[in-house]
Amino acid sequence: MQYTASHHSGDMLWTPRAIRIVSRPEIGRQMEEDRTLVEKAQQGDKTAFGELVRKHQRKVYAIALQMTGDHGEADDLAQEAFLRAFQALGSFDGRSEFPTWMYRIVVNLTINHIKRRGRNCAAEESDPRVVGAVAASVAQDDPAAALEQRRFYALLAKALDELPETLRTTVVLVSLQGLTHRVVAEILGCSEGTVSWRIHEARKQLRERLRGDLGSVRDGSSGGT
Amino acid sequence: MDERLRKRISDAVMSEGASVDDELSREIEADEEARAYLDDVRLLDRRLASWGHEEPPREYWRAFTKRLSGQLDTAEPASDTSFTEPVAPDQPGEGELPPEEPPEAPAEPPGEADVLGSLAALAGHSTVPPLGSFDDDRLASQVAEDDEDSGMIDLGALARAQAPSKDEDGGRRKVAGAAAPAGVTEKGEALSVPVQATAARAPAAGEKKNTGLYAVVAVLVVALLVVGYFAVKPPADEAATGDRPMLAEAPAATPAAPAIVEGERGADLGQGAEDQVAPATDVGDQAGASEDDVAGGAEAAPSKNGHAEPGRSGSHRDRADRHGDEPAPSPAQPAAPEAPPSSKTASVPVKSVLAAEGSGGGDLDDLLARATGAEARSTKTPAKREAAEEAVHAAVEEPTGDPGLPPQPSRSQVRRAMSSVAGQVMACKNLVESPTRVNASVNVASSGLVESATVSGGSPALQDCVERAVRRARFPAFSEPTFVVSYPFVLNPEQ
Repeated sequence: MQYTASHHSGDMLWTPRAIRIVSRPEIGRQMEEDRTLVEKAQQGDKTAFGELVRKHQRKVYAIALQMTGDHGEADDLAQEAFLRAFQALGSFDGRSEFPTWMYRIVVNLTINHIKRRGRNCAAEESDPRVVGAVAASVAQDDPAAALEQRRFYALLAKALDELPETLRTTVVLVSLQGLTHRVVAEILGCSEGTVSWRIHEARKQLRERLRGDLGSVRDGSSGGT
Repeated sequence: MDERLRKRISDAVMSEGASVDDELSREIEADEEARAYLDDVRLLDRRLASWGHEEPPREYWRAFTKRLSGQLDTAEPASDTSFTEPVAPDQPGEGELPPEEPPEAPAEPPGEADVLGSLAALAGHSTVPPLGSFDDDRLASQVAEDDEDSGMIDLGALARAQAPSKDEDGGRRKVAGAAAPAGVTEKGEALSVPVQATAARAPAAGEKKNTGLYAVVAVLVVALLVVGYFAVKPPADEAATGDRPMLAEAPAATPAAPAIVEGERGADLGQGAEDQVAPATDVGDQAGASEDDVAGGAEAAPSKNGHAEPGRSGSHRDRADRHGDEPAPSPAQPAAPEAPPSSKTASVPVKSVLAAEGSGGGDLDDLLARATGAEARSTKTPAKREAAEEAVHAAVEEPTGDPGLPPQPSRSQVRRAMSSVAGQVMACKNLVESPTRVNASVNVASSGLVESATVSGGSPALQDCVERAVRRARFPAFSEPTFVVSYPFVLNPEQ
């Protein structure tokens, strides 16, 4: 299968900054919607907050799951994060977007949780992250490739868990969740340069831990994505 | 592998869709370890970006919100909201790379003894006697014994060939100028070394060949002196003797009156005798230029055709800095084809020399280029070329504040800028499984650089990849503070 990209200029839009939000169809609308919901929720509208939960619950849960490697813990942490957010909604001043603020809360809670319970250094093939990776992969209908992928992701999950806390968190947010460096910097309270450095450092350490396995994956191109 | 190279690779390959610029590509191509690192990082990124998880079923989310709703009913506003504060700020040491290795200090010009050592080693002799005790006969015979036709330099023979000038120089020099490269010791001396031998030897050879020639020369000299006396003008060959400084007269007034560069300037131009010859013709071209004119010439030395050529003085300063000298006040004059035994004796103030050359085109590179024809700028150092290129880029990219700028880029300019990154957006193809439409909202600063970009549609990893790609777009500068363009891309796996 060959992938190509095409770009369309027909519906290109450009506007001055003053009406930028109006002219940004998707992102702008989402942000505006979030702001409206937050304002309503701050005035006590629980339905509005429920709408915010529905919009962002998947991402919040995914962050917790990828950091903990456990469905139950991720569920609890996501619940607690939304509850805390609701309780602290009065202090939300809109300096950052609501999702950014929300991700920060769940990251903080998860880091504290991991510190309390100790690091999970025994990621196995039954790890939901590993199962999910194989299930989401196109290799699932190829037993040999699925097996190899399961083995690789188990090692990757273990290597990820062994990373220092800040590196692991940054990798989850940038590489797994695809958040921009700017947003991640805002979540973690560091500079974008530091985010970039942490990613670099994390790659180095992951590569060291997976050195032999990366080679075999590349050579065998097992379970290609 | 250099840590900085690793970091550059890491920065360039933030996701599979990111591309590596040409310069980095070349470095990676030349380094096997870097290639392996790049491959591993790409593989890691691909695996991380495609690391999905099983989405809980809809019932789960229904239960999730129901449970949460029950908790919200009893929730009280939090008194402590520290959990909303960021917890992973910059830590000491984060973001720091190992200190860059200092660039190699420019090698000291080899001393005469070093040169001899190198040459002797080349000839198969590991030790070289000190200059004062150089046993050329022994060395010559030994070299001859080793291999008469080895192609190696026979230092002894060279030394013997220098015997006449050795006598004339009072034994000051032990080897011929050919074996002692310019720039060997004192800067001024270095410059004159190769010509000293010529100056000293030429008359001696003439003597041997034809003593009658002396009579003719003597008559001519007398005639010139007489003519000069009556013309109240110093004899033309007087300058060549180095007996008086040239500054007293019109500096470097004639091409035939070679100027000798003294001291620092000699080092500055320490390129060997060949370098000094070509510019000498310019000396005459600019005869009569005043010192005031010279000062102006240093800032923007007019070329031969009268056009200003700014920046010349800078290039000289660069060269002086590389030699560890004080920056020269302005372009310097190349040395004469002939010089007395010690260049210090021909004390020509630099200023006068500059007067001759400063307005005559200054830059040695240009003078050499002029002498060699077409490759006018090829002698510029890479550093200078880079600086020039940077200046050009800066001129292009810096907002000029020119009120003549358009308020915003035109539609075609926007299309061009976005099309220029379409290939990089296309490189995000590995991140889609089916035709996917993403919309990039790009915030452009008045300089034409992308300030920020947000992408909607597709997976987070795809959005990230497209965002990185569109951030590389460059627009023409415009006058309004900012400008936002929303641009859709369709990644179609079916085509």
